[in-house]
Amino acid sequence: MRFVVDEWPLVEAIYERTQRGPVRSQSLRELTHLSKTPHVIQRLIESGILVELPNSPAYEMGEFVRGLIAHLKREHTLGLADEIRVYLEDLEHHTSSIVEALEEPDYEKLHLHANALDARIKTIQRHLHNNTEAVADIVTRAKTRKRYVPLRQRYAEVIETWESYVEPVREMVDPNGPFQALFERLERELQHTVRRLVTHGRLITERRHFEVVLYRLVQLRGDLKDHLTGSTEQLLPLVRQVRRNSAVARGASIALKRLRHEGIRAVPLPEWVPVSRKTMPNAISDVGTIEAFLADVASYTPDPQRLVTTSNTAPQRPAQVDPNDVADDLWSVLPVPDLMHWLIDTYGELAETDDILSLYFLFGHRGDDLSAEPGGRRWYETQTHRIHAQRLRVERAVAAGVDDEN
Amino acid sequence: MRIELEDLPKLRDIFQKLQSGYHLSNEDFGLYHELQDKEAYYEALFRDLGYTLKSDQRGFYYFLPEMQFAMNATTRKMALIMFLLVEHFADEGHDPYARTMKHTFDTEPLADALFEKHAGLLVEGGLLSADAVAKCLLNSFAGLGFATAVGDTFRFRPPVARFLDVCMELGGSDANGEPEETDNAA
Repeated sequence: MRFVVDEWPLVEAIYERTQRGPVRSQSLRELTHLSKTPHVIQRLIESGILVELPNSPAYEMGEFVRGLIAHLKREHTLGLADEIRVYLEDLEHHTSSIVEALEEPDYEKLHLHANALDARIKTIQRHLHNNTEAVADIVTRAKTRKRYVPLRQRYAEVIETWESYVEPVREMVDPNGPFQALFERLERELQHTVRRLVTHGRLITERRHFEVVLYRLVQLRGDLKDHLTGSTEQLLPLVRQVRRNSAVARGASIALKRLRHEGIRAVPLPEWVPVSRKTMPNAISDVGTIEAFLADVASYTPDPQRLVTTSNTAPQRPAQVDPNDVADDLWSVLPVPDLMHWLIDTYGELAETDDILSLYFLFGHRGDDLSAEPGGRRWYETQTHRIHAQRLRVERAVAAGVDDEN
Repeated sequence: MRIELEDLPKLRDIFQKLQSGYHLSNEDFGLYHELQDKEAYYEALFRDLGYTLKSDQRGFYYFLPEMQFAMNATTRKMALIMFLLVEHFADEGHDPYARTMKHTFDTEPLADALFEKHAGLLVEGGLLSADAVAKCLLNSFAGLGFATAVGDTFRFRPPVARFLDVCMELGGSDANGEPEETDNAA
């Protein structure tokens, strides 16, 4: 440790370099200017800080020193969920061996596996601590990446951590999962071992050793739960944010695809989305307002609306024929077998379609002196329009004829 | 429940707003907080009048339309603009949800960009020009409480989440499950 502290600039430089992969001796020699110690590389190798790779001229940093430096530099590499699984399964192996040793009884073996179990629990705790720090680093990196980088890209490491680490570990330590049962069994076995050691009259230090292991196992359960809770609390909001954004973008894309294919009326909104409703006043107006409204209605005369033609959207010009002249003409030729046909024939070049229609309704429904008998609908053509109208045979009304005769 | 109308001094304003389709959110300071403070009274009163007051946990109130109420042209236009905005933000590499909820927009450039890219669909939807899009953003969205217009800029208010909810529903998301990828073959 003293050597690491004294040679920190060089050790840190080697650490940075080995983060990118094994480093060759030539590269190491180039870094020696950071130290004044003679034969410093050799000393690094001898002290286990540098490890020579088998069958290779390259070196890498020893695992212990690498972990230590990562911790000092607050750089943590997230371990694998499978590592934790293997470690936990290993606990079971050691506990089974302890039970066997107790049955035989082989106190040497018992002591050996108790130590191994203790060491393994500490290893898992160290891994959990490292992974907790690693998750915090990942979250910090994701949150501090440049805002213009798309979220999915910015949080890629978060999603990867969630899917490949947190979710498998969650499944592992699920209250109904196999590891929960394993922990309970291990605790039972160790408590049983402590009781047996008392029965067998073993030394109090031996019993205390097992009690410490048992305590550590309980502590590990708590650590695992805390680690998972902490990791979930940090990562899940970011994961949800990514998923929410992906879903929103995907949903809008689906909606627009439907609109483009099925038309604008196919807006895919559920019934509860309409956001506006017609205002329906609940109050009734006072009498004066209602009377004024009725007076308006009584004197209402609609503005005449002229038909448009297909060639010209401007309103047609005002009527060119006088209905009184038409009445005289019609009267002189009665009976007329087809009123619309006669009107178009006679006034088609003088009057617009609007006027023809006005005359048709004027004479076709004048019940006092003319009678009109429908003869089925048919098509008529003016100069500008096709009209589908009732064929009307028009003749003098009976009463009018009698008057004339009188 | 006994409701004293004297205790609900803003009843008239709140009712008129909600009945017009307006969504009351925390930027409508007085009305929103009055509604929040006496939510149970208002909810009961409106229920007796035949209206369902909906309280959204994201911080807004609105009247739930009757089920048979047909979607009106305003809603259709607003939905169309929201879908296009979300796609526009995603195309530009932004996060559509966060962008919609947190950003302040220059109205005209945004309307121009939307109309330039999606003129056909917007015209079909009754928005005949970039100006019409801008007016819809400033009038319909702001007028119904979905946005706040400040000069030439606007920002969305929490109620706009209702439209984003529709997108999420269509995108097949729930809070915990990763939605499936959709095909791009249109």
